[in-house]
Amino acid sequence: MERAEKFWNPYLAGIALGLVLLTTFLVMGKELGASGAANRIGVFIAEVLAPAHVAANPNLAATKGDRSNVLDDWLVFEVLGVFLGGALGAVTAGRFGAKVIRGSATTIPVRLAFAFSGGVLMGLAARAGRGCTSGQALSGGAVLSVGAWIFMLSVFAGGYAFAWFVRRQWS
Amino acid sequence: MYETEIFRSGFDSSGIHVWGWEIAVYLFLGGMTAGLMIIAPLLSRRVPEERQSRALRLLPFAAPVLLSLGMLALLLDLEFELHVFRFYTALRITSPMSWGAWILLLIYPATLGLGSARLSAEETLSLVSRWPRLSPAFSSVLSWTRRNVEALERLNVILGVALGAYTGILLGTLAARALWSSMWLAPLFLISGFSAGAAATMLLPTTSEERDQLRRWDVMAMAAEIGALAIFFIDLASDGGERGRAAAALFFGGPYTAFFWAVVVIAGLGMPMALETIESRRHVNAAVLAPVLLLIGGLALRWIFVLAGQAAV
Amino acid sequence: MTFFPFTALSTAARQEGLLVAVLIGMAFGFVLERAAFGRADKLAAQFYLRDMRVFKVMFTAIVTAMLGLVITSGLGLTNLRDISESIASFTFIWPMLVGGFVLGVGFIVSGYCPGTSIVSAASGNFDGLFTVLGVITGTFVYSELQQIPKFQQFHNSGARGSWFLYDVIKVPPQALAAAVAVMAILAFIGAEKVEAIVSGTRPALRPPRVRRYAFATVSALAVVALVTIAVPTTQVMAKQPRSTISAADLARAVVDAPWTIRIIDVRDAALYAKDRVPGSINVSAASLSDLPDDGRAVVIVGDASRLPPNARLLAGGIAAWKADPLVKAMTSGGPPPPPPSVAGAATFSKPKKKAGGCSS
Repeated sequence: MERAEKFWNPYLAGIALGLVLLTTFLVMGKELGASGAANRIGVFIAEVLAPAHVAANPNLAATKGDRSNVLDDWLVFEVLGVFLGGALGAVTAGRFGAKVIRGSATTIPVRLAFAFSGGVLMGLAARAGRGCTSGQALSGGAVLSVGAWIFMLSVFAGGYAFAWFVRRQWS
Repeated sequence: MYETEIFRSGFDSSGIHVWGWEIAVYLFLGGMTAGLMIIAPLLSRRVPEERQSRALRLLPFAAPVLLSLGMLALLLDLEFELHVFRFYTALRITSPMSWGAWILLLIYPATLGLGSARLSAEETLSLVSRWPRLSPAFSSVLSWTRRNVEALERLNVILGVALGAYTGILLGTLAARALWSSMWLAPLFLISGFSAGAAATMLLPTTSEERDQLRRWDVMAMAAEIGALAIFFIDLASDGGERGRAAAALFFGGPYTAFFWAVVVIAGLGMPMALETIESRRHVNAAVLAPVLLLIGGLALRWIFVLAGQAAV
Repeated sequence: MTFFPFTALSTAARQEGLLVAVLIGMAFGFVLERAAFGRADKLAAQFYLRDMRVFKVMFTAIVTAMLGLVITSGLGLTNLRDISESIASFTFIWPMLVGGFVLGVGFIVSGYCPGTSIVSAASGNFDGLFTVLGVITGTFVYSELQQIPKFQQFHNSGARGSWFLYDVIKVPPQALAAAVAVMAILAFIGAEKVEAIVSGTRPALRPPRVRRYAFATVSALAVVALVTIAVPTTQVMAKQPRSTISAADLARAVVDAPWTIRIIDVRDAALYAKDRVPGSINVSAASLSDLPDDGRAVVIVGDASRLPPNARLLAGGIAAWKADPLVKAMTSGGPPPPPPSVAGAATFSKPKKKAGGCSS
């Protein structure tokens, strides 16, 4: 149990994360993202299930761009790496295992419902904000983009404003 | 050239048959079956009978199920269905397709025989009580398989090796493609099949002793697979002539580079190898992750070879 | 533009670039996991002021990357604006304001942000997996909502193009970055005070060693950033006397976001009448300095001895424009684009580009 709680010092982790971010900027000239890959995976699934629907919606068709496969994208490969790197981190720290993280007062179905609906909200929000906390706030913030800083401050505002309503989930 | 058509099956505009996911799934499940047929006898020799898990004892029964699923995938591919019919109607000794078809037929009695020999007394009893009429025939079969269990084990290993190699030769018989006709494809797919079999077994409720042994074999198999991949590409680029070089280039800078290296090599070989090594060194449990990644990598390897073989003429 | 050949990911090095993406992603995922970002309880604690880890990690990362970028560009190794424009999405004030707020709500409800939910799922957490599925669903539903004209109008409201803080408060980027770094350190100290108050413990008299080293590193980088203002980068810059925009980039901007750029053609009116960039206006080079700044990026076509601030020159001139594959594709067969009064750019289809950030 003691091992499972061992995390890096936040400032140290921040510097490490900043160096990864800087490397990405300099080597790839790209941002680190997450929700963009989610968008592409969604379009991909829709294309398998209902190709006509994707072709009919210009927003979905535009996601695909000029590539024949919507998954042929920097962010999709990057997110594959995030998954692998996260798993490697969890296994080496002895933290890997099937579980549900929840407050003691929350049942598993409720927690999963919250997780999913929060995810839906974030999916919508990330499209409106042209990125999520990684691609917009973190990457855009580091290059001092005005929109990214508006977005980031707004994220913290939203979190603090709503925290009171869901406080029982975490107690 | 850079258009990666990863998920297409059917007929292309020129009317030439396009091999899609069906054959990749067949090759994958066939390879996994081969792996299971090799692993079941070998592992039960390593672990004393009284400490064997039920999953290991009954493992031979998994082989015909997986193989049937694979054939089912193949039958979805209409053109291949016609092929299959022809293999059985015209037996030609020289054609690997033809003897491959007969290997498949032999696998069913061999695996079922070995499995039945390992049934426990209660399992035998419950089977017999369900079909009392068949009980005399059943018990005579059982007594024969129990007497010949060592021969059956040997037969399973031999058929497993043959099936694994056959999945590597099969592609070469579909069409003359540099990528498919390499002789190194057979050992590559055999090793990968063994590894997939080990991964599938690890997902079953086995004992930690069995898992430790499987993990040791699996790490060796993955190392061997990386070596086999290297030899395969070196051979393709040096001995395969112009077409071989073009085929190898598909994986080194060509349109399949990212998918191949990311999914097959990093996610499907490097990660499980690292995870399993960490697991055995530090006694932490990564549970299902390494085997699942290994299985995804095994399927991706075959899928990408099916697609890339058709991209390079 | 950058050190490596993977700039556009549309070139011959695309495949290698995608592979590098996997390796970078692995580093990203590993660090997030070690930062406790795969744990909903640790992330949610931020919003109850119990553990300000999210704030600390995120801002340390932002400051580190920002200072690194400002320093490398200050030394003339990279071009800050080029890299920044390639990384940051265009600014759309209203959807970003609303989107940020909604994302914050989703964050506290799910306990994750989209990136950290992937790390959580990779650690075997089912709540993380469900969040990932939710994010996929949400991004898809958004595309359906965009079918509603009013919604699409909101989606594109408050468009400001590429817009950076150092353009707003007109200071050198290095000075701004150093100021942000100092503010971040002050905010970290404040955050630890808040944590101590909420948890009811006294703040430690001597801050832990790691923290002191981290702050010292950041401060040192900030000082280096300030020093680079004085570094004679003008000599490095002198080799590239003015910033340019390639024909390919301009073509894409014209197709995707014509409202963000102002194209000014300073050639003779006769040449302008023959070939021009759609949407461009014809102005004499002498009157360039009289143009009012309306916030849009300015692109100059032709030869201007002095560029107004915030303006870039079309590299290779109109010839390069005409030779660009995208332009050729748009104009092939048809007559030359209509005169500016008809706003030619509007006639082109508008594939989504620079929807930017995560959602690109």
